[in-house]
Amino acid sequence: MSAGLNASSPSADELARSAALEALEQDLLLVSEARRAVGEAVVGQDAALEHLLVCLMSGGHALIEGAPGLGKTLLVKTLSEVLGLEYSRIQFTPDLMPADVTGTLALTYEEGRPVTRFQRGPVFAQLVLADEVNRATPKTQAALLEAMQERTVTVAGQEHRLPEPFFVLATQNPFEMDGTYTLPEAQIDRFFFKVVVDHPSEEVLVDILDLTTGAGVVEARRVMGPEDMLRIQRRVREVPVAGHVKQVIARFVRSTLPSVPDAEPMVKKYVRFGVSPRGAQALILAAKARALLAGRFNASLQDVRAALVPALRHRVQLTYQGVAEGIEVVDVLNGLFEAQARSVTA
Amino acid sequence: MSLPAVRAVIRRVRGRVRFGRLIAIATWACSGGAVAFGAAVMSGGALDLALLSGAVASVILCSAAFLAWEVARPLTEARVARLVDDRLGLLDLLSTAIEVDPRSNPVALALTLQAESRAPDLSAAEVVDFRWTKTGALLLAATLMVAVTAPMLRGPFSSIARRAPDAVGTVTADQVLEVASLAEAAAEAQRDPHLAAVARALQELVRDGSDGETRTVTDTASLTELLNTLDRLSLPGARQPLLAAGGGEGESDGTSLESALARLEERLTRQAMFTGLDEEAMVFPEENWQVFSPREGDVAGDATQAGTGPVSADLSKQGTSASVPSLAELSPGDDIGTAELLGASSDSSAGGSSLAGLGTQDLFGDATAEAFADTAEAVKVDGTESSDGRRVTMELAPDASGEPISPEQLDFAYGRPRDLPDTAVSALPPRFGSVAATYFLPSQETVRR
Repeated sequence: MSAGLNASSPSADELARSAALEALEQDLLLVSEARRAVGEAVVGQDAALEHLLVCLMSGGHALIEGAPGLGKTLLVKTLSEVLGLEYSRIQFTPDLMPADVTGTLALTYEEGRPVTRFQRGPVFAQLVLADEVNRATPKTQAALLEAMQERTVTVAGQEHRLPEPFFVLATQNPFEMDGTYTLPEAQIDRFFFKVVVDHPSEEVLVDILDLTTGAGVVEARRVMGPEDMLRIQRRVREVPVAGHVKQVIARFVRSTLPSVPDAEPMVKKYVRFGVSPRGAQALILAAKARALLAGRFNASLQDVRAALVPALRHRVQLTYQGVAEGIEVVDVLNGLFEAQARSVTA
Repeated sequence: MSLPAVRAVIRRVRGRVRFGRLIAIATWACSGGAVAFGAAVMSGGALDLALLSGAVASVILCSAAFLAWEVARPLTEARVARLVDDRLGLLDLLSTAIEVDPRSNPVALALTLQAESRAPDLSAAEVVDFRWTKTGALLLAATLMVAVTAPMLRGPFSSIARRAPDAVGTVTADQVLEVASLAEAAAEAQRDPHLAAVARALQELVRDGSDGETRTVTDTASLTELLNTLDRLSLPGARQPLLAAGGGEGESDGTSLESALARLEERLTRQAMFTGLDEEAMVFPEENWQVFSPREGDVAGDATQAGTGPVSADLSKQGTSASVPSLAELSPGDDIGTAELLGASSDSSAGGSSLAGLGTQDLFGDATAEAFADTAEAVKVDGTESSDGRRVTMELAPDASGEPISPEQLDFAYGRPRDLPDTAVSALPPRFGSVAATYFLPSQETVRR
């Protein structure tokens, strides 16, 4: 790519172009290297890792769902180490208060006089692991989710900016639902991705056992820093998307809405809430990030297809009838998307 | 950036897509044409006309479908780029590259550079490869089968048409017998053994080839052949057969069996009247024969009129009828290379009669070119009998004119024959009058026969 720009007497424009392309190439290398580094430390979570990287490159938060012991926490911690992000973990419990998350005003003495100082909570980190987020009360959940959305924390009328980049990777356990507080739709929509971590295959499990029960310990190596991540996030937004891809996304999002007059009977029957514009934004951004992660410079329909389920599975709600009849959100999404892709690209 | 390599690929692919569309459409259009051809052939149409109709149907179908396809799904640059991306698995590389401005950011620049570098390696043939589909092969096979079998089915289908009750049911044995008896009478009057033989053949056909219950003639092929023979004998001259082979509608003028019988009946009735018993009554004085000069470009209409029938003469210069001057425009001494006489006998109601335009030569089948000493180098009778008579073309020798044509002598009015003043043959200059008399006046010999 840069080789084509070499000329006998390059102009200032050409030099600038060449430098920009080299910087882009460096960013791609960094992303690729980060992926490899995490993959060396965490075995068998390639799909989840890709989704999380896409999420982080897009500047979004992720809700990770999976059974205990699948390596969710390890994956997040390793990511923070490889990406050079300040890591914080909050274990959500029913008695966790909002101030335990955001921080509080503490009374201290300075020069013999009592003063109140803001004591930062664990949310003030670049990568926050909100473990079992559905176990906290809605009030505490709301505090976290507000911080996720606004990227600020307001205590006693004082606004405190969260560090950049800021990511929340929340986990929830699909089992043991007793005593949990399910995240409401409005709040769950703020998660960019919902990543489902599945049980590893037999071969992968053998690799995990080899890696984790041997004498050697694999240390995650830092590949980049927060500034790199911020720059990569800006790069992601520069990735172009073809008109027909955007058209497919727009049509698809409309097709998931049961309230529109020309909605399919299946959608009217089984879908309670369709995809919001925020979901469409997530889809495009995720496709762009995925393209860059793969070393490409444009978001294709294939990228959108790959981001479809993690970006939208938590944004679409089925009706009671749909749930009762065993309809899967994933099937609904895939079916509607493929129909629209065919109609636009045929 | 204009992306020359990318656009070149798009152009190549677009050309192949268009060609592919044309092939696909042509396959279907040929099938449509074959159906049209088959239908035309099996309905009894001529082979060349059927081929023409098949070809025209194919071309029209092909053009219409191609245009419709181009309008409904135009091959825009974006569409072709998407096609290339899809077929070659380029993940929307080209379709995105042609939309972005490479100066907007480094990613867009990198994208366009990547697209340009990959474009030269892209093969249009890989994007659109022409291969036989099952449908295409079946269509082609069906087309060939129709094209080959339709002409072979022509015979059996025509036979079926001949045997169909509607085609022959109207021709009863009595009708045929009536014509046979008239032919017999005409043969006796004309002393023509051929006519007599045909009359006998018709009577035998009714006896052997008719249905006893319905009293209809079933052997229409033989009947057609006999009626065509009768037509030739009763009205000599080169022309198309009265009836088409097979007993159906005539190819030239749409004559059915029934109308053919009616025409023959009328003609034979007149011929039967020429018994020679009343010779004097049948001789018409020369003054009754008239000559017209239709105006240039006029179409002669039905010249039927009561009383004496006209003999018209269209004397024109050599050349096509559209460019010839009328006689009124001629000056004395003008030389005429070719003249044309349009005439009808006065012993008939001109034009409408089967005897219209029949002169001595014509009645006896002498329709070939003939030299007239001191009059014309050659004379040719047009075999086609039209409603206004029969044309006789004269090729005149430059010095054959006994006297120059004088407009006063040929003071003809213009218009349709029925509206024109009659001109006696005797008033014509000798070079025309002799030919007109030869072809339009029944000779004494004819009358006596």
